[in-house]
Amino acid sequence: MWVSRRAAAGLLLLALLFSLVLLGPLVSPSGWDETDFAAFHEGPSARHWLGTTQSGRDVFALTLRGARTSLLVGLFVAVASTGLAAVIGAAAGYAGGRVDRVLMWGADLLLVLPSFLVAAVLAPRLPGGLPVLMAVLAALMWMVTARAVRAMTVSLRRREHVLAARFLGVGAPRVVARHVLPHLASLLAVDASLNVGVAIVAEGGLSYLGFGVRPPDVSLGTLIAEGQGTAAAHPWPFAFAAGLLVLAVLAVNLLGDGLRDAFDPARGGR
Amino acid sequence: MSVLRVTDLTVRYAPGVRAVQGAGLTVAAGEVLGVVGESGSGKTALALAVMGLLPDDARVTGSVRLRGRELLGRSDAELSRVRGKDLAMVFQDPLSALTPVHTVGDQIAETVRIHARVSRAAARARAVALLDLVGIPGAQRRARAYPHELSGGMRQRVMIAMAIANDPAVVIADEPTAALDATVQAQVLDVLRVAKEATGAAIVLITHDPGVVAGFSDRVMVMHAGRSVESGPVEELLRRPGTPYTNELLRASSPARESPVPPSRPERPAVLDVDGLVRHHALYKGPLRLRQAGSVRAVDGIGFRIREGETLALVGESGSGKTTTLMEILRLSRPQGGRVALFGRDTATLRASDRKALRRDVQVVFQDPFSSLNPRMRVADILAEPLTAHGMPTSRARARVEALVELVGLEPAHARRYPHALSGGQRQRVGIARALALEPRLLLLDEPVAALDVIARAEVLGLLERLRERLGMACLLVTHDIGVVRRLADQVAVMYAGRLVEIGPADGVCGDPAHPYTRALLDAVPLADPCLEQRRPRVFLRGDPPDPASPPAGCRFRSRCPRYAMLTAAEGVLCEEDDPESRPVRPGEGAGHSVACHHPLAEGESAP
Repeated sequence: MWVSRRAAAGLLLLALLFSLVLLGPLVSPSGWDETDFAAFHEGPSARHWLGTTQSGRDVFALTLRGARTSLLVGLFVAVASTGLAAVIGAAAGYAGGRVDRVLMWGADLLLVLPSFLVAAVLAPRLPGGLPVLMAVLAALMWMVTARAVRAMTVSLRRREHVLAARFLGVGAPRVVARHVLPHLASLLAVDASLNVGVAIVAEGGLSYLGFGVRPPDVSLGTLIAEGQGTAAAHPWPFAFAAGLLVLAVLAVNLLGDGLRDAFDPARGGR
Repeated sequence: MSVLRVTDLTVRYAPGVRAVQGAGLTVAAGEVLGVVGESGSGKTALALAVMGLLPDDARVTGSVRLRGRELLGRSDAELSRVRGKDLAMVFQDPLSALTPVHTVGDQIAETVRIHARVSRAAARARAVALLDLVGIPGAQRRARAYPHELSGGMRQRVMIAMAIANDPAVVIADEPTAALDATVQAQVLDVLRVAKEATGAAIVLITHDPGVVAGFSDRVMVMHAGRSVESGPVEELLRRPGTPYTNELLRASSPARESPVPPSRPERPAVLDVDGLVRHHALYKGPLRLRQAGSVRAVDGIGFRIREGETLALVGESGSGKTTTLMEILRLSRPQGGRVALFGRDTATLRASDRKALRRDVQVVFQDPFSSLNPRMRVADILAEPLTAHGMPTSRARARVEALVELVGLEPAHARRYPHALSGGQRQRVGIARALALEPRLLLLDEPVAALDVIARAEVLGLLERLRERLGMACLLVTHDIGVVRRLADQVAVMYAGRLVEIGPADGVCGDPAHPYTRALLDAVPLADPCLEQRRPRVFLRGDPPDPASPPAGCRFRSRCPRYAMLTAAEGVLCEEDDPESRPVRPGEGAGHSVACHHPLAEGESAP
């Protein structure tokens, strides 16, 4: 398939980020979990490429460790929540009637509950860990998109090519997969790419509450939160973490934009 | 003395695509110039270039002179003082050309106030006067209506009123009737004529249908591939076309039947049997839409039968319930009222598995080939879909797809394309191929050529005719175009406001209609021959079809019936009080021609 230049740029940037995150620790002189009691709050040096934190940890290794966690969380949560939204929204919109009412009632219920509070209340009761955190985040992020998907499905359902497929005797799941969802691909691609940033930031907030990533392990969110206070005097911890976050979000947004164009054959070829 | 003179006009889009190549035209005051050509011939680009409404990336060269003053090269702000005042345009689709959030009276008044210093009240009074001029009944009241509250014909009248609001020198009408029914088309052309006489404006009428030009314009220009192929006085040009292209265009616009009408064979088994079919849509009112306030009677008890190998045409204006009938049949489930039987099986008794099996035998071709094909699938995948859905292995499906592509006259290379890379006619061929993939015994055609222009229409009609003969399937054809009926149908059923008003063999119904509505439908078809077109007596229908939520008591056609208008009070009582039932036109003859009218036209009375 022909992929647009933007999508290629996004993909390349994402690949570079991943290789940095995976290969960086191999060449770094210090490990992420080591503490150097001889250096607190120091600037870049040969031993600590990007300096150290106030507790003497290596900023370069620590941030790469955090970025690895955040990239995993961001990508997984974005794909999972958008996928959930697509399935639930399309099912509700296409089936209509009771299925529609029950699914949208559930979505509205989750929407009115403040998701951050729900996660905070659940936090002490659930066994921690990254997989649970990702599942909770995904479960709290799909509702708005599901409503949009449902609305578009309802209008697509009345399109003649969908009617044509139904009258040809094509089954409902196949009609949804082949004639409804491809038309939502651009919406879903953009939604998923935006969700990556949202998930990374939300994960940081939740980790701050002690839910999910726990010290001494780190994520970009916790690093940014910690670095924020001292950013004026010691910019390295904050700037590197924030820069990686910006690059990650930029990469997935480029990819999402590029995919949106590629999914539309009438506009492709530019 | 010409008011508009266009010479050597060329329109170029960015990468060397020429939409118009050196076209020229002149129109004098009070003259009507028809510009005819198929889609893509550059006629709309020509109109937009004259108006200065082309997109920024289009390069226009040549000269456009309005009353001797050059328009090309002027800035948009300068042109805005000319547009709507000296140069006005009527667009094809009045629903998208009118702003939905303002009343039509305000929109006309706005046009007046932009170009003239008049008070708000005076502008509004002018708007009402204009609405009255274009024949909108109750203009004072209708001026406060929003566009969606008006019918298509009424909206186009509003557009015309807006165009002539400032007494323009030239009105350019781009396919003003293409979106309208034939009956309404005749009314709107009449309004355009009135508007021309009231303002003395020159009119440039752009259309793909030579029939529209024949009755209306003084001179004709034929466009093909961006060039003006030929131009001249309408009678001369249409009777003795000078180029092969014009000849082809004219022949395509008056489709003649290629195959003889087969005699009806009543002994054949019925494929589709519809009896007393009812489909009402409930209307809800009140703040929460909980109170049911009547219902729209889309289909109100109709019945017909199609036998093997036979084609029945369901004819009527838009909104008469034709497409609803088709959809009810396609649902293959119990209708709200009445009975639908396919191949002798009542659809009310079908189980889900039976229904899927039955879908093989009943297929549909939709009206709009732009929306009925999934834009994200290649032609080959579109055609393979019905085959794989019914369990054909991929390898055999591929061979079948190749055969189908050839069957409908497409190139093998087309199978790899996406629908947007095909022309309208080619897309409709894909739609037909998809419907034929499973070798159905009954093919439902919903306005199969309405979205195509004249030449593509003639080709697709020819294809349908050949395929029907070769494959021997039965067809239910829904159309508002009498030309299509004459060409394809064996039986005709005429629908009005949810009811059948006349049904019978095609030559009987078209040649000797018994219902005044059928007569009016036949009269509304424009002929491409200017002499015949201007001489023949015509029955115009006034007004619009009745509101299907509250049809008039008695005969539903009463409000528009030219025959009812001429009856004495005593004769008319029957029409006012009694809903006419269908009965044979000539009792005793078994031809099956029946009509629902209290005062049907007698034999020969309706002959042209």
